[in-house]
Amino acid sequence: MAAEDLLPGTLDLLILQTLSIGPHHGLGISRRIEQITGGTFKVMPGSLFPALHRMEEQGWLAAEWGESETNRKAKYYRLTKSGYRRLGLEKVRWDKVALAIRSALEAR
Amino acid sequence: MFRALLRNLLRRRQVEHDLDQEVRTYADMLADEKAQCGMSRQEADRAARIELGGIEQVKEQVRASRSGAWLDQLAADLRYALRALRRNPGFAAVTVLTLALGIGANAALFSAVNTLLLGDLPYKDADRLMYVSEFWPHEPTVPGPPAPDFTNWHANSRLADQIEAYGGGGAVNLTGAGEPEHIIGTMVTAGFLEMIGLRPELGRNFTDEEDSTGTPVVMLGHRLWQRHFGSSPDVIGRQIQLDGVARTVVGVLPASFAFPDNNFGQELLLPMGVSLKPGWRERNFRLVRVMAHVRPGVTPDALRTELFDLLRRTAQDEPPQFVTMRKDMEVRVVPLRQWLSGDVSRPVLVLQAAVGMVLLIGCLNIANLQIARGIARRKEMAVRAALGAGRGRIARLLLTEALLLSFLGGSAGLALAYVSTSLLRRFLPADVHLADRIRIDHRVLAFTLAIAILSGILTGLAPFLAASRTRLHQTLKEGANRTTEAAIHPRLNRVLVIAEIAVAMVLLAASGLLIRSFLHMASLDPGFNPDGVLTIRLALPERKYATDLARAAFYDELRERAASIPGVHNVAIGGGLPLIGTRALAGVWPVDRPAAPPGGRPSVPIAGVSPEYFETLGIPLIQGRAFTDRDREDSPGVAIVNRVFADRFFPGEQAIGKRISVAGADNQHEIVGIAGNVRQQGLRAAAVPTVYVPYRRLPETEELLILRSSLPSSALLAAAAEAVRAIDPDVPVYDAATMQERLSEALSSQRANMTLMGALAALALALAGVGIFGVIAYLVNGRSLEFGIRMALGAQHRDVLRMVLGHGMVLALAGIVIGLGGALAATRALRTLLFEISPGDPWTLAASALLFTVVAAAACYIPARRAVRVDPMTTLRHD
Repeated sequence: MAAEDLLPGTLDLLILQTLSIGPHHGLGISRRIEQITGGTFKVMPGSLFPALHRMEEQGWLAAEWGESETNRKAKYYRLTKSGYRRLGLEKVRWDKVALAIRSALEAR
Repeated sequence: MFRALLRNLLRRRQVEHDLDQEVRTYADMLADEKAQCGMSRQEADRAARIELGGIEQVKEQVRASRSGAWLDQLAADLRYALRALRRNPGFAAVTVLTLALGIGANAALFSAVNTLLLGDLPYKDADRLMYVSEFWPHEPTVPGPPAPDFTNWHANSRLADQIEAYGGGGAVNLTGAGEPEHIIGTMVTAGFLEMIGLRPELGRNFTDEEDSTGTPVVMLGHRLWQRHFGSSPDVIGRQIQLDGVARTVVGVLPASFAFPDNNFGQELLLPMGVSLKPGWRERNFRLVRVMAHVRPGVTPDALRTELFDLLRRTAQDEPPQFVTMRKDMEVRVVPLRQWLSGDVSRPVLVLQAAVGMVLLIGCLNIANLQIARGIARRKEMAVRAALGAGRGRIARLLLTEALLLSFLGGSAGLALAYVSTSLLRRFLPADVHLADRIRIDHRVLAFTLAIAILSGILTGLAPFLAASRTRLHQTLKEGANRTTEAAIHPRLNRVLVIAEIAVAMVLLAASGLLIRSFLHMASLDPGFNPDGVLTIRLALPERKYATDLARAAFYDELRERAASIPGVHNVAIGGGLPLIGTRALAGVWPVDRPAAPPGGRPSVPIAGVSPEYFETLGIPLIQGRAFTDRDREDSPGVAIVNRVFADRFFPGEQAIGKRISVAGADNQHEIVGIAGNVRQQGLRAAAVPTVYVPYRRLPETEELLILRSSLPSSALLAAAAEAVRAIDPDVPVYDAATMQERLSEALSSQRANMTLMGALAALALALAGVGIFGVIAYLVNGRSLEFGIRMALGAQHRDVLRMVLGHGMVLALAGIVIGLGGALAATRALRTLLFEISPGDPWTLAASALLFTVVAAAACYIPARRAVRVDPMTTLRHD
């Protein structure tokens, strides 16, 4: 199955969800999203990095340098307190949207 | 958030380093993955780069999403822009200069439009203030209504809350308190200050009673009060001596006080005392400025009708001569603002449109240069795009460059406008009373900023549109400067040049029409010889010179005294002058005709003149004789008529020897001479039938002293004033001017229009020429390879020359044709400014088009010659 374009607003949610499990670097986050969406979404670095930097500026993520499993110096992102709060909000919002879309599609 | 912004701005190097490291690690880890799957290390690196889509692009995207990114980019853009301009100082200088001239001219003219047409007047209810005047056809330059008309309106108008007047007065000597001072005072009616919404700073206004009883009171101007009385509050109630008469100070004016027009002294106000002069006998007492404060919603036309009807109702009580003169008089009412801006609203708006067009041409020119530059910079732009700059980013870069230029140009232009407002004030005719208030205020600043931004967008957008059309790969692959015609000569470029030529053509046609109008007017034969003639107005005090005999005696003596001034060749007295008109108007009728129906006698201007009048002014006597000193009030009546009069009343007959009767004058007059026509009522009006009689028969209180001499006019004026003073020191002398000055004054507005429009058209023509030159030079540059091949294959110089010229002339002719169409439509707005020429005058249009063609050909020829001078071998070997 070919990778789908991300729906607007879903990238933040996916990144937050990924990082709620534990800190990760850029490529790790990207692979993780591919994995948990069953390969449906593939995040390219051209959208991933701007999103990560924006969310860091907003205080949802914190970053520090660390060693990767392959001994490379990588920047690891983790969720902050306000990041967890944000994840909660985004989830509620997504549920609402998903429900609304489903009932719209089922309406006759 | 804010911390992030600070960090981005202050610790830029660290942030950039981290970003680079982060993206590189990503690429490396991606490659690691691929290597684990069995790719060679080299293959893996390459595959990773492709999947990533370029490290620099990713970094650029991150930068664009940072907070404060716009600030960052603005700084970067400005840096690039400055660097690009420094690399190309010639382009920068030409652009800034063009914009400075264009924006400066627009700002300066807008300061005039702002003040004359949009500005606030410093009066309460300024929109309800109207200027009221009367127009008497025989005397078109004297606007003031006679005293009985004013008192009639003042008492009876219902549409106006108030009708008040100011003006008159003059110089007085202030003595009795400190140093004696010579001050210009002005008379006002009691309600004047209240009408314009002003209150005295100290003391009180004049009362109606003071006005009507002639109580000797006075109000002081703020500056006089400060200067002469040390701002002392005790000044109220004090007596001061004005020309030896004691007057009581009743009030002090606030510093903000100013008469609507600047012809009057504001340091001293005296009561008008007009209510002392209600009867028609006071008709020679003129109220110089009359203003009405109308009730809400009253139009000028309604007020005019009411005031005119009021005059008609009292006309029965007036003497028949006055009634005849009234027949063609008009009452005029204009809103104060309109009156204060004079007749210049239209010329000023036309000029504003013209400078707007010049700026437009300048911008089109710059846009074209930018496109040419943009093509030279295609590589740079392509590299930027390849490194991840989006279309928006490139547009912003080009726009920043253009805006930087237009702000530099705009600042220089503002300085230019600041200097030229004083020039503008001098250029405007004297009846533009608001001219002194023209200055650069916040509205002019806002306007200047707006047009600077607009110019920036206009000049920055074109190169972006042209640049974004070229394709990236093609550009990067192309040779250094050899391209196909389409690429070096984009359509937009040609369209801009054609537009530029068309606009310049409109300006050229307009200035052509104005120049020819001026030439028509200047080459008119005014009917007199203005060289060495000085004219001075005299006003005899009415009470002192109550009889014809007394007035005639004064003028007799004046003629004698003036003639004895050394250096004076001729002296004359006259009740009228060319360009100014006559004081009197009379109904005339040939004696040998059946009697005219009652009231059916045509009214013609009539002037009493002394024997030397015609000789002094250089008006030719076509037939018959001049007056002599034997033509007196008690000798048989004689008259001289002008040629129009003779042709009108005695067509095909010998007018000499015919007799005419003149209303008001009791006996008949035999025509003894026919004088040449003169432009009696300004240069624009054709000569009207006029009658001259010996001045002893019609000695008026106001006459003109006319002197022909070889003396400088200042010395002559002093000597003449001394002669008047020697007879009677109470007779004021005013409005002295040489006939050359009066002629020049009559031409001044036409000359100003022509000069300004001509200068703008010349500027437009030069800019358009530079535009054509630039486009053709660029074309020649870009196609030198092609020309080299052609010449190597045997093409002659003139073939190439013809080809290049042909290209340029097609553009020029297209612009000229479009411009001619535009000119036909646009010059209609000029109609009222033209003199004896129609807006669509084919000769003027043809001449303008021809001139433009010549300039365009010259502008094409210079670069075309360069094309053929190149040695084909050098061009071919170059690549």
